Amino acid sequence: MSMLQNSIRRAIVLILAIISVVLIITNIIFLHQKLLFITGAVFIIANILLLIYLIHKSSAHIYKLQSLIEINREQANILDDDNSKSRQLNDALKSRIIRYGSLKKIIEDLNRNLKLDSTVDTLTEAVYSLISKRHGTALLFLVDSQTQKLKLARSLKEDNGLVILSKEGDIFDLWVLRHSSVLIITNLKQDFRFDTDSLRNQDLRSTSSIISSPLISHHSLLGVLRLENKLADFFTQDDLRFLALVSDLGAIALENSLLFQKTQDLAIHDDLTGLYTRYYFLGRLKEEAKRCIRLDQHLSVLMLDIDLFKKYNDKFGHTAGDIVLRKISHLMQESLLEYNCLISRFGGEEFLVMLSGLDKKKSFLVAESLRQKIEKEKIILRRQETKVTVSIGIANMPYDTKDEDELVQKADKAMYDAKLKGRNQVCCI
Amino acid sequence: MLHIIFFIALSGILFLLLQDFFARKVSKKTIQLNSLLNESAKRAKEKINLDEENVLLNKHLTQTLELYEVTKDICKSLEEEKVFKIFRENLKKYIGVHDCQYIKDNADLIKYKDYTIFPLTSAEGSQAMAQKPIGYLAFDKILEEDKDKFLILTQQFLIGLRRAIYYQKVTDLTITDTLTQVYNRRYFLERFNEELRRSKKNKLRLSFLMIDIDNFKQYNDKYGHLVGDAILRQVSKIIRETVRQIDFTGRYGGEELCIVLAETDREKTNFAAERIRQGIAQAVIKVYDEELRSTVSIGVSTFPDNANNIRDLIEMADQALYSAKETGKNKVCFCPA
Repeated sequence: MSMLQNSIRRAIVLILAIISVVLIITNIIFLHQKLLFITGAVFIIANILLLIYLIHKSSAHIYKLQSLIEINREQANILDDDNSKSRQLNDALKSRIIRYGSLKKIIEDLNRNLKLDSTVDTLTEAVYSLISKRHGTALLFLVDSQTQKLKLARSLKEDNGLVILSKEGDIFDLWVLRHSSVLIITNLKQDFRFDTDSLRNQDLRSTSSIISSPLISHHSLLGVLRLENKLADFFTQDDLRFLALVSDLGAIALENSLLFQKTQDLAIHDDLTGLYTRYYFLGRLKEEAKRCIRLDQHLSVLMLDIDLFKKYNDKFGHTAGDIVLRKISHLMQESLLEYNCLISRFGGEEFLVMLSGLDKKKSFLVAESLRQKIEKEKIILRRQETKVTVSIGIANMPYDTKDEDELVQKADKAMYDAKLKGRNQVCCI
Repeated sequence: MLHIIFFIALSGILFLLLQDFFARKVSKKTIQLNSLLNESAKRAKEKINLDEENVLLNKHLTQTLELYEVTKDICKSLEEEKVFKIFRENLKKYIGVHDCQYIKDNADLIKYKDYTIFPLTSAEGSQAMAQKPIGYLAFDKILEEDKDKFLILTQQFLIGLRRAIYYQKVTDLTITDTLTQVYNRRYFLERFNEELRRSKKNKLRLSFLMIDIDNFKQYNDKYGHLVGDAILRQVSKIIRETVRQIDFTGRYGGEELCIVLAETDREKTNFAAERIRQGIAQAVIKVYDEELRSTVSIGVSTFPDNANNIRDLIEMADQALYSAKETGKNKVCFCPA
């Protein structure tokens, strides 16, 4: 384009030069030097015209270029905006991918440990670091299975001076429980769902945004996981979604921990009587036997069996049998309270008691008083008085044996002797 | 003459100067424009790249999210086998795995020689089980790119599986339901069986009551799970206080409670059932800031009038309960003799 313009310009210059030459020749031939003035004037006018033409032409060209530049600049700005948006989206996506990628680690952590405490820790820590970026407060409440109320299990906060006032959960937690759904409050002061006036006595000035999610597993509510921050609009919808996802996983992990705790407890305690189990008792007996041998102490074992329990069951029913088992457990615990003892339900209607520091004679007296107590006890079923008796066998260490397995066997044998002698009595080996 | 030559030279120089000046200005602008155009093109290209990347990232994210949504699905069941079945379906859906087996016993591992074995390790926290995996997964082939997805799914399977296993263990070992403090279903049925056998042997009468809380679902929906749980707890407490020590109560289903009244005829059963119904209808149940009232419907079947085995007794009591619900709730219905 500029090439073309240049050639045009050259052509114009050429024409002007030819005109000048013609003018000069005419000047020489016809008018001699008289036309000098006119020639000068013509040149000046021609030059001015030339100048005007060039300015006009160039400025038009420059103007065109300038406007093109501006349009392009605008487009570049738009592109820039778009780009930065895309880049933001890109960053957001990347951070979300990192966040959801870390779920894998969280679930691995949850799977690795079954202790309730560490599950609670893992969950609180995960949401506090991944969603809150370690700002504000993270709270985890667990439902107490006895009172059906919330109890604060774990809290993480940025500022150590911040006191968490609601250890039992406040209206927000109750909202979550009642609706069994997630809650997001972007600005507490503008949220009309909650009557913040009623909370005036609580210090809520430090909280503006809250997200909270219930921990529900298999239709039962286990607790609430909640994050708070001073700043309004701190949490996004994606934060809420992530919290809900962690809560879903966490609820199952929590239930696993609770179930595991229960299995551990059941390995130690018999569910019907609340006494120790056979497994746990034998473990403890082993330790105690070692200790007693080392300290040269007495260790007695009582084997207690309910007389004619099967007949009793047949006559009054198994529920009556359960009642008797509970009653006898209770009596044993009550009357052996003052001694250093360990009581276990050894089998169906068999109980085993470990008495540390009591010699054979003393153990016999203890057993005899227990037998009498049980004999006197009335068990009323449907206004009908029933009674049970027990046979007790005693074995002592180191008197009878020095081996703890044999100790139990000897006590069993002594109990068998008591049965043979007519039941309702105490026998020593 | 000299003047003319001078003029020509002057205008020539002037012209050249001016032309040069303007040409320079133009070329400057042109360069500016070109660089702008270049930059724009670069940005446009960058944007296209970014957008493409975003689409990929988004896809990746949705896939990951989908993988985690599976947890809810897997954990729907409390039975080991079912948990595995759902897991396998999901495995097939998200990853190209032809065959996957869940192996509980080490001895069976030999059967899957050609398979890759993946041990499902236990938690580190429980030392007793740390050495021995819960079980093994055997699968024929997994693509390298699917390994990550497989691990994610397996972790979720593990969490669900473990729940099923512990749940089973706890139900096997416990006799009472934690929430209601009455016998759980397993122990209740065990006791019921024994009681029925005893009644047959001693020619005694026995009644079976099935109790259902009216409109329980509405309470749950309106006030939330905890309120529903509290009602259930309170109702079972009233029942326990109303019946004799020798009668036993069990939690049969979600909001269903059962009672066996041993050595009790129809007349006495009616008296007992009415007392339970009235006791609950009169009680005010306080939960948080709510004061609620609740009613129950009761279906009754009796031995030996209605049936002589557990299954039929339960079935008939259920029918009686249904007719109690149909005819207005808050009432006791007997299964006709």
